[in-house]
Parts: sequence; structure tokens; C-alpha cells
Amino acid sequence: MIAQPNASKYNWGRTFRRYWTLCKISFQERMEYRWNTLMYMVVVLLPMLVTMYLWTTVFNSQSNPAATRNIITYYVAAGFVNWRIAEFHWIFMFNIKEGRMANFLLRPMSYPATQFWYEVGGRTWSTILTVPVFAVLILALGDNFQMPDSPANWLLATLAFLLSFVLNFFLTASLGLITVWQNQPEPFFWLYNIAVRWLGGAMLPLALLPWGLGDWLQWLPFAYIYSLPVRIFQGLSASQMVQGFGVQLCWLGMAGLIFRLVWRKAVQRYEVFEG
Amino acid sequence: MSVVVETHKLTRVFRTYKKKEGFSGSLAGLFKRHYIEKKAAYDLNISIQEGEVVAFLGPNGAGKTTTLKMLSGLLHPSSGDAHILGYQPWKREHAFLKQIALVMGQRNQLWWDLPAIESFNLQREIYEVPPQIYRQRLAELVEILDLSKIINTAVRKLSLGERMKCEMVAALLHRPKVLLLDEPTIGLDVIMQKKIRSFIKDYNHEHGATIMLTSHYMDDVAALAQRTLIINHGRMVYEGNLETLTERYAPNKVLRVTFAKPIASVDLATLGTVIENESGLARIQVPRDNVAERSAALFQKFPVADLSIEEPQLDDIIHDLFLETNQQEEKAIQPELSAVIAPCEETEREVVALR
Repeated sequence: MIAQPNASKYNWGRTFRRYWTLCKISFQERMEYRWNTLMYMVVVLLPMLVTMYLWTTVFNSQSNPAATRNIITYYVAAGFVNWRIAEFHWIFMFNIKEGRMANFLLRPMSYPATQFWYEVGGRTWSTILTVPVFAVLILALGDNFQMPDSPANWLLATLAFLLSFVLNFFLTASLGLITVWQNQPEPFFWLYNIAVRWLGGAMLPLALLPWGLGDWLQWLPFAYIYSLPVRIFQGLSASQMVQGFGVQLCWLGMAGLIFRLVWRKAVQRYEVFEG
Repeated sequence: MSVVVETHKLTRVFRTYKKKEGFSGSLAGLFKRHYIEKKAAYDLNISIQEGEVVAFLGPNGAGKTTTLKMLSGLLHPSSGDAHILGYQPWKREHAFLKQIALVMGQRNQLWWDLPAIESFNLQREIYEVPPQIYRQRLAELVEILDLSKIINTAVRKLSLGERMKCEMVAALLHRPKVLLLDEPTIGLDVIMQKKIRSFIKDYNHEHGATIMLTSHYMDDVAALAQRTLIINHGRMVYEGNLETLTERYAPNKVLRVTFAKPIASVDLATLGTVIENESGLARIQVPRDNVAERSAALFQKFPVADLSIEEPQLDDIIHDLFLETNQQEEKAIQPELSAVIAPCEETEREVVALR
């Protein structure tokens, strides 16, 4: 029998090039459909306009300009995070159900990493489309939108957002892998989507929740997907910031471990539907 | 020569829910479910030498694709072991994956919305093919498969045959040592089938690749395979070359004769079994070993205008083999079935008696 050759050293440069090519492929795919691109910008704008109108009406009736500015800024930032955060459970589910995951498993590369970087490419393209929409929206809001006091807020909010992207990847990818055991896992997905948006602060700022619920929810991972980047954007004290990043990193590590475990079991169980 | 593919008692069992018929069956399934286990591959012992082309045949649902999936590392076996190029496939080590390729005729691995060249470029990065070698191989493959006009067209706009050729290029750019082909010519027209066949053959000759292919087209098997493995219901039922298979399962050949004037069937029956005899055209089945002798007798006794010798169709031979193995299996499970059915019949009789 042929003996195994010695495994060569891991080459980070090659790995980077491989995933960069994948990002470019995803980018190019999105650009193939011009109408889709245009419609995406409209779809981003419309719900944001409705939300802005709703909250401006509610807060203007209370004649409190500071509160109005605060809530409008929160929703614009939360809206941006909401549109940029990728959800992987649906992607994993379709790829498992339709057998597409098999194409990736046959190649010498990690399927989860492939899916992650493919989505990063796609999201980068859609972010380029989203930025002008949000820029126009912010200009239209005028004094009702409060820019961060310091450029550090932009940077730290971006960092928190990138970490939340990875955190949401681990959580939703683990959830998507349920498909391997449960052929129709959609109810779990719906439950997660509701939980992450309501308990994570995408639908309502956690501080507005009654009975001090918001304080308790700070210990769940969801707040570190939506709420933390927005709160940093709006300005947090140094100690709050440290605590926020600390808990976010803890959840990131934990979610990463959970994903690793689920992935290992799922791959053993995977049955490759469709041919 | 070394053994490249080796399996030992490779088995894969699938557990599936068996739903009872109709609405009440669905309702009952909400509370209690009956699962059945199906052995898609059972105790398979396969050994393939380096550079060999082996056809892996069987009817639909025999377990061919399941076996290929295990050998490529997509599926974990329920029991047994396998080694390809010294690696256990389901560990999916990158060093292993870089040396194999699985092409499934019904599965598309190219990026649907982009031209095939983009998928090829990605393959180059994934398999770490040096740029110069990549360009050289790509040019070679594009020329052989006549793809120059279509590699810049979106994959979704290509015909099935063109897509299949592109799939082949994507699978071979890293020059795999082991090529697993699952129905590579399915759905293609005759000309395209021939092209793909000759391409696979050349690839085997030039690079000494080990190839295992499944196909329902016996022309693929006859043109490519040096050896044949046949499975039915997950079990290996034949292993050997096509000639031996033909000799074993088709002991006769058919003489197709055109006579200058019609001859009575009774007269022809002295030479063999008359299958057909109409308007001076007859087909006579004769034992394989006596073909020369009976042909000579034909020429001596009758006014023969034309004679040809027909080999039985490979499809028919394999069909007969499946029938035989199915009958053997039925016989084997008959005592088990009787053991299950007898108590049921007894209970039924008791119920009738009580009524």
C-alpha cells in the first residue's frame, strides 16, 4: 500500500490567497445581476424610513429633542448593524439539504471558513451599496442624528461589529448544522431570529425594557451582536467599554468551542442528500 | 505496482423513517415512528492497483454512489475500514484531498453565475497549483476538450455536455492520482459520451491515474474498464474482468445468417437453438466454444449469403447476473420470512376461530 507522505507546513500566505480569491468570486457573483443591486438599495432604505418616521412621531410628541436624537441615532446604527450582520443558519441548511456542502468537503479547505469568507465578500459588496443609502438618510435626518464625539468611537464600534459578525457566525452556523439531525430545522431558526433581535436590542434598546430586564440581558450573547457596537457608537465610558469587550470575547470563545464540537459531530453524521 | 484503494468489510447503514400510507399514517407518525435500517454497502472488500481503471456497476440503489462517497471521504462508514493512497478518507486530510477528485455527473461544482474560468482560477488557489503549471495544464485541457469558446461564458448558460467538460477540467487541474467518476456521461449525447470516454482513457494512459467509475452505459465500461466490480443490494456479487463475466454469464453466441433461399427451422436446429427464422434471415444460438465448428457446418450444408457473429449485449449479461443474485437472496431470506409469517398466520387463524 502507498505510504502517506509527510504533511507539509501550514502556509498562511497561501491560505489567505485562497480565501481572498473566494471573496472576489462572491463579489463578482453579486455584480452579475444589476437589477438585484439596485433593488437591494431600495429594500435597505424603505424599512429604515418607516422606522425613522415612527420613532420621530413618538418622541416629537413628548417634546424632548435629546431623547429623539438619541433614539433616532440608535435605530440608524442598529439598522446598519442589522443589515450587515450575516446569518449563516439558512445558508448551512440549504447547502446541507441540497447536497452542495459535499462539493466543499471534497476540497482541501475548510467548509465553514469557505462559507464565512464567501459571505464576507458578499457583505463587503452590499456594504458598499448600503453606505450611500445610510449617508443620504443621515443627511436627511440633520440634527436628529448625533455623530460620535470622537473618531475612536467609530473605530471601536467597527471592531465590536467585526467581533459580533464572527460571534453571529459561530452561533448561526451551529444552528444551521442542526439540519444534519433535523431535516426541517426552520422552527429553531425562527426562535433564534426572534430571540436575537428582541433580546439583542435590534428591535428595541435594551435600556427601555421594563423591570431591569436590560441589565440581565447584558449577560446573554445576543446583546454582543446588535447592542454593543451601537452603544459604543453612541458613547460608552472606558469601564463599560472594557466590560463590553470582555464579555463579548468570552462569548466569542464559547461560541467558537460550541461550533467546533457541533461541526465535528455533524460531519460524522452528514449523509449527503441529492445524489 | 502498489494498492491504491483498499477497503475491508466496508459497511454503511442508513436509518430511515417508514411512513404508513395516507393521512392516518401521517397522524400516527406524529406519535410513534417505525424506522428501518438499510445496508447501502455491506462488507465490501475492494482492492485496486495503481493505474487501474475499474468499473463499479450495479442497478439503481445498489450502493455504488454510497461507496464512492465513503471512498472520497464524504461519508463515514458504519463499520469496516478503507484506505486510499494510505489515507483513511473520512479523516479528510488536506494531503489526501489534494490527490483525489470525485466527479458526479449530476452534481455541479462550478460557480453557476460566473464563467467557468473563475472556478478554474479558484481551483488553482485551493489546490495550490503553481501559476505556470496551471496555465500549461489549463491550455492543454481546454484544447483537448475544445473549450476555448466557452470558458468565459457564465456556467448557467452552458449546455449539459459543455458543463460536464468544464467539470472534468475543474476536477483534473490538480492532476489527481485517484479519480472517482460517478456517471460521468449521464444525459450526454453519443458524440459527447465518446469524447468524455476517450478523454478519461487518455488521462489514465498519460498520468497513470487510478480510476473507479460507475456508469449505466455499458459502452463506457467496455471502452474504459480493465476490471469490473458489480454490487447488488450493497453486496459484491462479481469481481473480475469483462471477458470472464461474459464467459460465465453468457455461455452462448448468436450466429446471424442471411441465406440465399429460405431454410426450414427444423434443418437449422441441428446447429443450435433457432431464435428467429424469417424470410431467409435466421439467428441461431450456439455454445461459445463451438462457434467456429458450427459456422463451418453452416457454410457446408446451406447456401449462406452472409454471416455475422453476435456477442450478447453487456446490459443483458449484467441483467441476468442481477436476476440470479436477486433469486439467491430471496432463497436465502425465505426461511427467515417463513419464521416471521408463520406466527402471524397462526394468530390470524386464532382470531377467525374466536369469531
